[in-house]
Parts: sequence; C-alpha cells; structure tokens
Amino acid sequence: MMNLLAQTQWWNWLPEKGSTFTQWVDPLFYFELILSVVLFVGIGGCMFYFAWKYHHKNREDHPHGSHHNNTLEIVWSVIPLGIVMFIFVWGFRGMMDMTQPQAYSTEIVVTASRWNWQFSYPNGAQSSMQDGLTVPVNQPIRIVLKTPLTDVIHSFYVPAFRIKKDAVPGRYNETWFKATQTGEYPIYCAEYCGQQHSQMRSKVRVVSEDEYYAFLADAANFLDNDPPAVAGQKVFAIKGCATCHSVEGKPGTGPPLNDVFASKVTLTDGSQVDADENYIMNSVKNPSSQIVAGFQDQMTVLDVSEKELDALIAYLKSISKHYVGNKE
Amino acid sequence: MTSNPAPIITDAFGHPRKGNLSRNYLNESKGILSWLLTLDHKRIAILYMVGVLTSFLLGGIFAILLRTELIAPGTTLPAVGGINTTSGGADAVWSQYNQMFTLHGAVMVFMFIIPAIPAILGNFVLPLHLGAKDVAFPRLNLMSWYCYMIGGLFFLWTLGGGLFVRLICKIFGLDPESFGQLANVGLDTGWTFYTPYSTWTSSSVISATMGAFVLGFSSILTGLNFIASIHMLRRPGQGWTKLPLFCWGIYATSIIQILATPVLAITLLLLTAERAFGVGIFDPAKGGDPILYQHFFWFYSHPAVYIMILPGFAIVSELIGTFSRKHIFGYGFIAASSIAIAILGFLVWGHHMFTSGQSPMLSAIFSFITFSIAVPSGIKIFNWLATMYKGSIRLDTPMLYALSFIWLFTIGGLTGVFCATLSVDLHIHDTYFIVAHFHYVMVGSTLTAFLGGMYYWWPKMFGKMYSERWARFGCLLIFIGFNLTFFIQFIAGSQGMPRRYADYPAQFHIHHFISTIGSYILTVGLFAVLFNWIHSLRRGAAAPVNPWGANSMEWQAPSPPPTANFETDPIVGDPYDYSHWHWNEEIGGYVLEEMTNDEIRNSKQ
Repeated sequence: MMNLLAQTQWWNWLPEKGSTFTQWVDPLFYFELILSVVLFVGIGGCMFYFAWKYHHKNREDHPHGSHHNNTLEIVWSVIPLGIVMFIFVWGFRGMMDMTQPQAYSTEIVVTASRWNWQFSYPNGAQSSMQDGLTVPVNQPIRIVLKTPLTDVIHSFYVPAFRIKKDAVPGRYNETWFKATQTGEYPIYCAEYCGQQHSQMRSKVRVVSEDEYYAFLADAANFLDNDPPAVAGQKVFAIKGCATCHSVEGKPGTGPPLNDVFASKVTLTDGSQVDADENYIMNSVKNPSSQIVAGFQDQMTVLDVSEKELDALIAYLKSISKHYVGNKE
Repeated sequence: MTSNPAPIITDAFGHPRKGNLSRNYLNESKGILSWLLTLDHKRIAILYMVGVLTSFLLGGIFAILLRTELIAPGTTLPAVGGINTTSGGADAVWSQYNQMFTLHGAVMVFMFIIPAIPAILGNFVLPLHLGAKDVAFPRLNLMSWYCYMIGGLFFLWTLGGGLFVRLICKIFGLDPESFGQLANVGLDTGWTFYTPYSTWTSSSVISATMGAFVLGFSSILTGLNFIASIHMLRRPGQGWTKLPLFCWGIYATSIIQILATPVLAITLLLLTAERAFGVGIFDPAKGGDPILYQHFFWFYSHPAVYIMILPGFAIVSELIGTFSRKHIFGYGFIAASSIAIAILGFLVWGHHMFTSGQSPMLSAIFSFITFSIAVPSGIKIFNWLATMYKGSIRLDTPMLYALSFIWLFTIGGLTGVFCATLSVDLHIHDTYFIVAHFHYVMVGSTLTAFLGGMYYWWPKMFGKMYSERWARFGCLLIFIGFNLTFFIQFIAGSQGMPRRYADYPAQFHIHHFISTIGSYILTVGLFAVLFNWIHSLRRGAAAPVNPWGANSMEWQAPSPPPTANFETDPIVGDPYDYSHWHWNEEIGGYVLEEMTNDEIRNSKQ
C-alpha cells in the first residue's frame, strides 16, 4: 500500500503534456475543476451550515419563511447559464482546432483491428504495435484511421496528446496532432473491442526530424530487401498476428502457428487438411472457411498483399519442424 | 422513535381507530395466488420490490467480482469454465471480465435503476398522493410486473441458458453447434450492445436484447399508467399546483418512458434481425452503418438517464421539504425544471458520440443543448438549499440520504460539465472519468434517493419503524464507501485510464486499489441497510400514521394502509403546508388538528 502511494504523482489530474492540444484542454479542464471546487464548497458548505444552524429545537416548529422569489430564481438560472455558455464557446474553439488537420501535414494511416495497431507511413514503411508509431517532433501529423470491414469499432487515444478518435469499420476517420516533446507516450484503444481490448496498447515515439527520416528509410522496402522468412516475421508483427497466434506452441485466441506448416490440421467438422501454401493463403484471405478444432470463428480479414503473403508463408515454413523442403 | 414501547394505533387526528385494526393490504388475503393475481398497486409495488432488489443483488455481485479483478494489474480471479477460449490463460480471464462488466451494467440499468423508483415507490405512493384507491389501469399495472419478470427470465437465460443447452448436449451426445445461438453463453457486448461487435460476438446477445425489449414494455406500461392516473384521479380540489413534487418528477419520467422506450425496442429488434437473419442494418460488412446504431441507441439511452435521475429529484424534493418543516422553496420552478429536463433530454444524445466521427457542427449543437441542462439541474439544488434556509431541520435517516444526495449529485452534475465540453471530452471520453461521472449520478444520486425514499415510506409500506441508529450507520457507510470507490476514478480517468479494461498499466494500480477497497465498504453498508430492513420487519415498533409530519395525503392513510387506501376521505391541502400537524409524544408521530369545514376550505386556497 505504502509502495503504491509512493508512486509518481498519482494524485495529479491530467497526464504529461505531449502536444499542442494541451493549450486547449488543460487550462479549460483546470478552470472547470476550480469552478467545480468553488461551487461544491459553496453548496456543500451551505448544506452543512444550514443543517447545523437550523437544526430543529422542537418537533412542533413550522417556520414560515418565504417560499417563493422570482428574482432569486432568475439570478440562479442566468448566472449558471452565462458560465456554461462561456465554457461552451471555449470548448468549441478547442474542438475545432483539434479536429481540423493543418495543411501540409505528414499523413500516417493507422489501421486498428482486433487486436492490433498498424502504422503505415508516406513512403510505404510500416511499423507494428510493439514498435509503435514513430513521428517527428513539432510537425503536424494527420492520422487517417481505418479498420477492416469485418472488424469492430476501436478508438485511437493518446492521453498525453489529449486526442481520441474512433476507428469505425466501413468509413475513414481523421484526426491530427503536433507533438511538442520528444519521448514515448502510450496509445490506448478506448472503444471496447472484445477479449484483448485492454491489451490493445501501443506507443507514440516522438523523435527529431533526422531520426524520423532515418527510421523511414530503415523501415521501408523490407519486403524487397530482406530474405522472405525475415520479412515474413516483420509482416507477422505488423499485421498483429501474434496477439492471437503464438509461435511458442501456446494456444491463445487462435491456434499457435509454429510447427504448423506441412502438418495435418484438424478442423471443427472433424476433417483433416494438409497445412500447405494453399491452406495458409486460404486461412488469411477467407479465415471463416477453415476453423481449427477447438477455436472460434472470429478472425478479421486483413488486407494482405501478395508479397506480404509470400513472406508470411516463408516465415511459417521457417518456424515449422515438419517442413523439410518438401511436402512430405 | 423506536424507544416508544407501545404506540397507540390512531387515525390521522390522534383518535384511537375503530374497527379491525389488523386488516391491511398486506394481510387482506393470503396465499401465493392472492399476490400473483393482485391488482392492488401497493402489492404490485411489493412484488416489484422483491424482483428489483434481487436484480440489485445480482448486479452487485458482478460489480464486486469485477472490482476484485481490478484490484491489481494482470489477472486476479481464476478463469471459470473457459467458455470463449481453449487456453484457460489470461485471455480466458479477460473474456470473463468482459462478461462481468457487461452483465453488471445490463442488470443494473435495465432491471434495477430504471424500475427501482417508479415501479416500487411510484406504484406505492403515487395513488396515495392523489388520494386515489389505485392507479388508473390496475390490470395494466399487473401486466407491467409480468413484463418485468419475463424480461428477467430472458436475462437469466442469457446468464445460464447456453450452459444448460451444452449440458443437455453432453448428456445426449449432441453437437452444441447445431443449436446455433441457443448454445451461446453470457453477454460480452457492454450494456450498450454496440454494433458491429454485438453482431459478431458469440455470446448470447439475442436473449439479452429480447429481455431488454420486454423490460421496455414494463417501463412503458408503468409510465402510461402514471400519466393517466395523474390526469384523471386527482381528488376534487387537488389542482396541478397541489400535486406533491414527487408526482411532478414521476410525471416527467413517465413522458420519457412512453416516448423514448419504443425507439430502443425497435433498435433492439433490428439488431436481433441482423444477428438472427443476417439483415444488414448496422453491420458495415453487410452494408449497414454502425454509427446509425449509436444514434438510435442513445436516442433512447440518454433520455433513459433522466428516467433514472428524475425520480431521484422527485424523492429528494419531498424529503427536503418534510425534514426542514418549511414550505418547499420555488415549487413551480422545481416542477417545471423536471419537465424541462425531460424535454431537453431528448435533444442531447449526440454528446455520447463526440469522438465517433460525426460532423463538428452536430457535436457543437449537442454540446450546446447539453450545457443548457445545467440550468434546470442547478435550479433544483438551489431551491432545496433555499428550503433548508431558516427551516427547522431534523436529521432523521431519510434526510441524511437527501443531504448525501445533494453532495453526490453536485459532484455528478459538475463533472457532467467537463464531459459536455467539446475539447475536454475528446480527452476524457471513454475513460474512468466518465465511469465515475455516471456512477455519481446513477448510483450516488439515484440509489441514494431510492434508499432515502424507502426509509421515508417504509413506515407507511410495512407499518413498522426501524432502528434509527443502524439506519444512520448504514447511510454513513454507503456514503464513505461510495466516495472512496468512485472519486479516485475521476483522477484515474483524467490521467487517461480507459474504460472496460480487464488489465491496465501499473501507473493506475493505486487508483484501482483504493476503488476496490471502497466498493467493499459500500457493500457492507448496503448489507447493513438490508439487515436493518429485515430487523424492522421482524422486530420493528408499530409505526404511527404520520411519523414525519408531512402533509401529502399518504400520511392520512393508516400505516400500513388497507386495500382501499383511506378509511375516511383525505383532506386535500397544500402538500408543503405542515402547520396543521402537531407532534404527539404518546403516539410517536404527528396528528392533524381538527378543522371546521371552513378552515379546510381556506387551507385549500
């Protein structure tokens, strides 16, 4: 308990400041907090004072105070109305800035799926949930949010940037931010999306412009430059396969995928199939058609290119003890 | 008052009652059928009380389980069954947690908070407030209870029906898959049933939506009955300004119940059609629109928030007046503010969707109207305080609950301002800040008002007083436990802790730890209330006609009332004029002064 209380600043209200939006949210939040404390102390104070001061002397008492005063009613209607309208305008201006991306932003596509964040950069580079989203400091970033058609709603939330936007299947959403400090900040999924909702966490890496370009050059074109099995391992991470499919033999939401290639797989209807290239391709493109015995039909159909698929198959071959260069 | 050993049973004027004193609505007839087929609004209220409190226990068990899961990061509780997964590892625990928070929310919202005050206290008190023998449509009233119970059966099926089917399959060697969705177990969609998750999940969504559908009819019928009763059954001389504010609050609630609930019913039917027959309405993979679902859902569910809180206001207005012994301040403004909230409540649903991608213009309009609701809410609080000012305040248990309500609702209402602010909401939406906010309003306020109302009308309902000391102790524990559980969640939420997380980063450990400890204290407080009530039923001293000196008409009926409610015609007066009631130590209650007909007529004006 004491250890917990000694933790860093758990009593603080808002988290660290990471983007320009803190200039909208933080002052308004603290204004509302102070206003609330003042009103609360006023109301609670009156309540306790009256309860003490006017505590009954005699059960017979029936004081004949005034019980009607239009002026007073108007005063305590109009003053709160004025205050909330002031807050409304302040909040509205903030929202307009926070939802309208700036011109000449760097555009990054964020694909949310159960249960993965995939980040795609302007030069074709991609990064995985584990590696996080890498962005340059002090530059406007426009985030295009999408989620596959067969998936569910997610929400892209970076507390340090004070932004949140839902990723809705069947439509594109957008948001933007300009990071002001280099460092790492958590990304959470804020819209309930099922079993591993609480595990759908990643991070934003805010780096200097030089580092950002170095990262882009390094992360791009790995499908062409790396050996297929190595590239496949990267695709496996980027597409978020690992959240459901372990490669250490432990069953998770989906079946483990090590030692699968070139083995016999039993499906829910009892039939057995050879786990060859066609099986893998079919499982990626039409996952509902072949459900492995003991598992549920819940895999999202992801957008996987031919090159990525080739690489994935090469990777699965490389982690299967059954595969020895021939089919059997 | 309990110290008074043998109160004399009298009528409202302090005269010893004649006739068969032991006859009342509770023992008028005997046997289970006399209850199941009763048309008496008081008995239906008791039937509802049993059902609603059982649901509250069930929802509470889920709450304690999920708070226990969250006491530390990682997994805490063992996974039972492994229904949705084969691994039995952490993912089984996460699935289990998702089921617990969903069932907690669904049971508490649809089976506890929405019916609690209208169906129990409204049913019992409203006809008495009108000086009537019963509600306008007693048969419809009984039917609404049956709707409630049938809805409850659907929820029970959601909980265990799939397990039952699987068991049968095991015994007879059948394949559970061939039973399709009947073999699905539990519910993991959140109480909001958001699509497309609810279209795809393999939990028992259809039984839950059909349950909510049927429960909706219970709500509609109750609302219909109350509106008809208030319009048609008022006693001669009881104009609209002589209605207790409780009736105004229930009237406003009933408007929402009648107008909003059908929209939920249709929405849930469409969702059921999508799941059962693959009709594409909300699922984008079938050509539907998931945002449309959110609009439909919140068009009901935001007004439903006012179905939950308006009856709370209604009770507190009664309590503050009675226990300040002073005429309620700003009667017309309190009554009108309830109606204003009911109407404005229909126009704010989009504030649940600021991050969904709806147009900024739409968000701005919804935010603007949401802020305007602060005004009628504020009016109520200020008028209650003005009523207490220069009153003669008694701090009996119901009043302690009323003061606790003002405290908790002030916090709940003020934090609502944060949530309505467009820019701030982009940060706190779907975090624990929201969780804390709506628990302060729905639980802190509505539950507190409900308990205060139960203690207030308990002597009338059962003819028994209760142990004042234990009742105050329970109230205090609930107050401490509640604030400990939920206040810290505001801080966790504003730091970024998202809702509906089975597991969380270590930085939020302290918040969740404190919150869980608070929930245990809250639980002890609620059980203290339960035992206080049971003790009262078994050992409580007989209640006088009017223990509080209130002037609404129920306090002229015997405690507990006979089936026809009143033995003599009740005198209609200003419900907040307490001057004609005088304390009688011997009886342990207030007695009404004898008045000539002229005086009665004058007091009506």
